[in-house]
Amino acid sequence: MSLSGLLQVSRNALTSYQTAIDVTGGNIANVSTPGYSRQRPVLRTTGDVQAGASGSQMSVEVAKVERIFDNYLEVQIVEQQQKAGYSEAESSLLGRIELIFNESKGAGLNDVMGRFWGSWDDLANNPGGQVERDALLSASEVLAARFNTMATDLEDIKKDASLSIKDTIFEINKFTSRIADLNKSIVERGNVSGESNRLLDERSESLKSLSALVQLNYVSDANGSLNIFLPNGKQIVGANVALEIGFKSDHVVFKDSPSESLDQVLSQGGKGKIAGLLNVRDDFISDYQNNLDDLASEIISQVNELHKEGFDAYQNTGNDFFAVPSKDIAKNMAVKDEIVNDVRLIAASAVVSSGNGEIAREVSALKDQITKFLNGDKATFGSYYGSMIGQIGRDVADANSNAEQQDTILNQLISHRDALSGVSVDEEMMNILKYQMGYNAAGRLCQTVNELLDTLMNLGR
Amino acid sequence: MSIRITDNAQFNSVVKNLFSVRKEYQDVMEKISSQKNINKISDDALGVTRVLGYKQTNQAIGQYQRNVDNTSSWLSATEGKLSNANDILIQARELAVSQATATANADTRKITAQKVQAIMDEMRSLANSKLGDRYLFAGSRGDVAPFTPEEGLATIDDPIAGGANSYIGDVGQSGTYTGETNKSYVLKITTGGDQTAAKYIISSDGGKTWGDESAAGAIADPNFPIGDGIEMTFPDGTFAADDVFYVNACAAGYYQGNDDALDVSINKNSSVNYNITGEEAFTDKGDGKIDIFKALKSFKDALDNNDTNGISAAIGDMKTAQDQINLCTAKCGSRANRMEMVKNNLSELELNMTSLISATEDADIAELATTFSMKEVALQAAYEVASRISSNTILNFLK
Repeated sequence: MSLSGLLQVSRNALTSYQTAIDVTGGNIANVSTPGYSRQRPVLRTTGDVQAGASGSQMSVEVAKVERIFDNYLEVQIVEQQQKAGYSEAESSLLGRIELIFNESKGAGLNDVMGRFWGSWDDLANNPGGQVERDALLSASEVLAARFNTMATDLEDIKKDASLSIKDTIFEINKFTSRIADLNKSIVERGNVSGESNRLLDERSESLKSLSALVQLNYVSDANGSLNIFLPNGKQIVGANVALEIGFKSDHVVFKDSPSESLDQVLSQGGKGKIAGLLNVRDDFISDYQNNLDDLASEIISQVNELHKEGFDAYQNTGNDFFAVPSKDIAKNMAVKDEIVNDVRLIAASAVVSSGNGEIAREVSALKDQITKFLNGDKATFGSYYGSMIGQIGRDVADANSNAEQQDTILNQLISHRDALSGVSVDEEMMNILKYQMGYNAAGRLCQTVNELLDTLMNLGR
Repeated sequence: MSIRITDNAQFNSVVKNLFSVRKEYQDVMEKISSQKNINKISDDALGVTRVLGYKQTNQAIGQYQRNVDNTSSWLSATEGKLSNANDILIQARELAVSQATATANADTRKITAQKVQAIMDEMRSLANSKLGDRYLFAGSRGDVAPFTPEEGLATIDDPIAGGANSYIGDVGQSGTYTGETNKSYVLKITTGGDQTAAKYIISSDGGKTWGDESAAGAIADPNFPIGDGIEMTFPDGTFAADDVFYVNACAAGYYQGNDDALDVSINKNSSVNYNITGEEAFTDKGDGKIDIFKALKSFKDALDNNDTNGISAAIGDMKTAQDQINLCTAKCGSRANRMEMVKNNLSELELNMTSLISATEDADIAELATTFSMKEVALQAAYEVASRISSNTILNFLK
């Protein structure tokens, strides 16, 4: 081996260690970049020992820059991300519903309903009294208004859920098209020696963000493309093409076939933010709305039925007390206009004499009557409302604890991932020391070769 | 291989722990400041449902207490009036005793007759007393004073058409009322149409219970009977379902009210009758034994006519009248006692409910205060740890 060859060795070593320090520097710089996978220079011996001849010619090179990455962990994170996305959406939306039904501070529906029944009793005690009639009207209007507000609030949350779904769809499209773009670049560049490491990190981050939004399955194909499928097998990312989804008349659809709703497909399985939003919107809120409507409707019809049997202060037979809305009963509940205009039309008497308050007394006693509700419950109005509140409370508590649990699991997985792929400054500093030492040594080698050459040159003097 | 602890993971876990400790700290603070264990329904769904039930019961109890208070004042007013009535009946009886003796003569009896007239007036004003704007002894009738100054014949008032009726023709009544007691007859149209098509039902108790539906066209007959000798006439016109017409009919005598029992709810599914009708207190109809006004009138007439037999009879009549009034007073008294008992029960129940609500809903401050200091220590420790994070790295040792 020649001395100039030795210079070549030292040159290789110098560039290799410089590359290694570069990579290490990159790691340190990205110590807090989310989703960054640490990279490691893979040093490899080059050259061979040539036995018997003029010695050996061995050197070093950076074969490739390796990205430290556990595919299995990644799969788990994507899976868990879907569950966490679902629970978080569910718990935050349900948490808003809980506020509508907040009874702990008083002046909730429970309170208002109690005062409503009480006002009828007051009227029964003095059937001819103008004051009692006015008080009853105002208690009834407050009750109706309370129902109206609650129904409207529920509807508003439903609308907000739809808006969130729309935003989520926008996000999903953003990520799928980003992943398709990345697929294209990765396939074009290849990843023989780590050229696409950054893109791979970005793609896996995008995949994780996407999986928090929607339930999905994915496979990598031989070219390195990531293909993503919805649970029904429909491909939303295929190589460098992303299939856009859209939002049409409150349903999730594919943009190219807007008549086919994906709500059903996406809301099953309890995975992905969009499933959480769809579930709360279409199941939970709809249930609560139905229960509230049912309660309002039973109060309206039972009060009206008794009221019609009575006689008002003009000795006419009673008419409806509450107006009967044709739909959205709780939202449109109201005292009949005629009665609002003239409280003497309240039919408190069971007979045509003004001193009788029997009907008012019976209306008040409705509070203890067992009604069969549409959902099969047999309960008084009060206990029906109580169990409805209980149901909502349980739903919210379940969603909250579920969200907390899923989040904990996700965090554990992420810390596992960090343990493997994350950057440790201590480690990188040690690596720098190591590579620096190599670099210094290679420098010394160069110097030594230089001295050898000098010696050689002076041989002839 | 040992686990690699990376910087990012370390930061993340410290931050997560800080959050969770702060959340617990915050929860305890909220409980302490609101003094409540349940601040959102999801805090304790079962507890909330129970508390709502207790609150409903409590609210109902409050209402029953109001009802009982109202009823108590009604009962004490009634009792007061009845005991006044008893007092003046004693006076009347004393007058009867003194004027029945041989020492009395036509002149003293004439003078006493004036006193009895005054007693009658006094009695009528007692019987017509009101609490607020409601007559104590009128049953449920509120439009006229229950007792008239003069004894009346059986009357049938002019029929009144309901204000919401679509029938706009005349309504007439005829016949002679043969009923024993005062009644409100109600005629309600069930099938509308002209006179030949309309059908109706009749109630003789003001609309509580109804008879069978009439044949079509029955209404076209002039003076068709509706009961107890009352006849009605509809000269012409078209009816609509739910048109109502009612007729108040009074039997002969002083009483204009009715025998309607007024009820009040005093507990869940429990109501009591609280009024004494003029009928049972002052007349011989229904539960009554003697018409007190008639008895006083005939006592006065006997005095005017110097009729000693009549005067002697009045002694017995006044005694019977006293018994009748006392019976009613006793009824009031026992009802008032019941009210008192109900009131005590309700207060006790209210106390129980309130303590149940408190036990479920209210925070145990002593316990919370301890938890609070624990959480505070935990939070301080977490801050301490956070402040030290990454203060020890190899960088400190590389010179």
